Amino acid sequence: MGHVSKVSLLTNRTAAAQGRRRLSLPVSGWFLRGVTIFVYGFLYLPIVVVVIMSFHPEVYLTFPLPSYSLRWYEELLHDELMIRAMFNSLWLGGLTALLSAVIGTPCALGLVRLDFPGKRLVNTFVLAPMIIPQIITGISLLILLNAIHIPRGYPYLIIGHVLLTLPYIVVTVSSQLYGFPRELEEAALSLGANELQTFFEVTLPLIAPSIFAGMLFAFTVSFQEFVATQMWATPSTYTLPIRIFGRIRDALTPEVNVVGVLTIAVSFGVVALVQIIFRRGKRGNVYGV
Amino acid sequence: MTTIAARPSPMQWLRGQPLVRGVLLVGPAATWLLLFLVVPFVLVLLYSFWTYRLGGVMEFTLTLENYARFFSQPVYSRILWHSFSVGLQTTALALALSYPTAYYLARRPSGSHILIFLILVPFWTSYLIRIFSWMLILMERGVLNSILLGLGITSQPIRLLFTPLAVVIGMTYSALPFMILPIYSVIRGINPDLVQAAKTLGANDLQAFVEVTLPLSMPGVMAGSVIVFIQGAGNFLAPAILGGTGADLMANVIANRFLDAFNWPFGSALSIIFLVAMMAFVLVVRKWAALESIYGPRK
Repeated sequence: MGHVSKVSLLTNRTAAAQGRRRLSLPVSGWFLRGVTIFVYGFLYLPIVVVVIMSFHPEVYLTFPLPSYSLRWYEELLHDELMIRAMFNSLWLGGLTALLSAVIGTPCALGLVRLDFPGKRLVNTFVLAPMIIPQIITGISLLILLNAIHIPRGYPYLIIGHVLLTLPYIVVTVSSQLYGFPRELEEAALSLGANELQTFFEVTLPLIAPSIFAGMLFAFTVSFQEFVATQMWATPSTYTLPIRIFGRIRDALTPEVNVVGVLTIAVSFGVVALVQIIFRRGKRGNVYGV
Repeated sequence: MTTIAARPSPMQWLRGQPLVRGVLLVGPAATWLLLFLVVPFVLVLLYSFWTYRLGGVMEFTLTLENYARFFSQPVYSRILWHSFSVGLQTTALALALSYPTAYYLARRPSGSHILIFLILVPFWTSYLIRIFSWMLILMERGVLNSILLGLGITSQPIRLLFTPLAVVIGMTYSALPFMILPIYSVIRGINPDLVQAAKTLGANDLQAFVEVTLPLSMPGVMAGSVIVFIQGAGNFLAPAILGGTGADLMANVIANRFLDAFNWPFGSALSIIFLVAMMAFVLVVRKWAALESIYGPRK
């Protein structure tokens, strides 16, 4: 039995390797590679263009650039409205991420670990804000809060952004919970810890990376959300995307690119942080996971 | 995350109460969704039957006026149709680019972790900024025209920005990760032995692909297509920034009813019609796409 399975494993592996290699003819290989290279170029072209255009020296955007300058970076420093919108978006994103994690983490726990009536329904509704066009979410919440006479602004933004980011927390945390080593919790329980202690001493530290990653996703989503947000914000509570959109529509200058470079930098930072967290998480799993 | 004090007796009691634990854990999120997603949606439905009088005044008398207006003024059904058509064009174009890419990435012998990561990175940068960037690429004195002129391919700048094509390009661009990832993960899950078996039985590469890989990858294609279609048909920013006048899709028209025209009942009716039409379309396509099972049973 032992050597039979070893042999079949061996043939399997070579067959798999051959299968992968033989899947592409030379011609189709070139075709696939060509399309793939085009797709990567396509994906990164707009990001590169925004960065290059941010160094435009004049008011009207043209390409190629006549020369390079930091003029619009300096202008941004004096653009109070834009800076205010940026800080507004930063703290709104932070608060959203925090609230979303506080509500979403227990929800993920419940959905992954418990069976209760209505679970499938909750499961569907949790993901809904990710799939429903944001314009619909935007006008729905507008109608509700307006009907109970709450003026537009922060209440709308906070409630709405938590709603829009909840799926990201739940999905990220659940995905780690599915592979969670329950033995560790059982060990803690059998050693005399109660369920709350077990949660805070064992479960929470182990799922912390995915909670943090989910929070970073939530922050990013909130930080760039435009379509629903335009229904909720007032000029004094404008977020960065709303302010940028206004500029694109009314007074387009290369400054928009500078703001673009900053938001791209923020997102790249977030993505890098998520990568680092998950690497850490994996290394932390040496405890027999 | 429960707020119960850490005394052993209630904890032990709780252990035998899955429903109570479910309510404690899922309750806050479920309440949030109920109050701010489900209830508002019911309100939208209600508003769509209310009467609108000029000047932003609403009367709480039931009427079918808002729906009648949609069907009596052809401009609105044209916009709905236009939204669907743009959604479909985007889906087709994204699929044409994504399938080969996903296939290539899934079948690379040396693995594709970093390449997949690189597909995700742009998705996390601001959607607004990336769409705006397409404006710079497509405009008359933009990146693409200067390259075309420089290479001597065209002698005059082509008008690309503010055309329907620009909208579809912008949407396709942002749709790629949503299409590539599901197809990639499905193709990766296909056992290469099956392809090998088809070839052993005499199929050439193309036949093996058409008979084995393609049908088995349909779930990924469907998942990606549904998401991309919904995002395309419901898109606001690409038509608003790249489309110029007359490019408005349903999302733009709905936003306009609420922000500029203040005709909330009609805006609500438009939202309901749009959602129902989209859901019906997706369901029909999924049903129809079940025909893919003529390729034989699969797990």
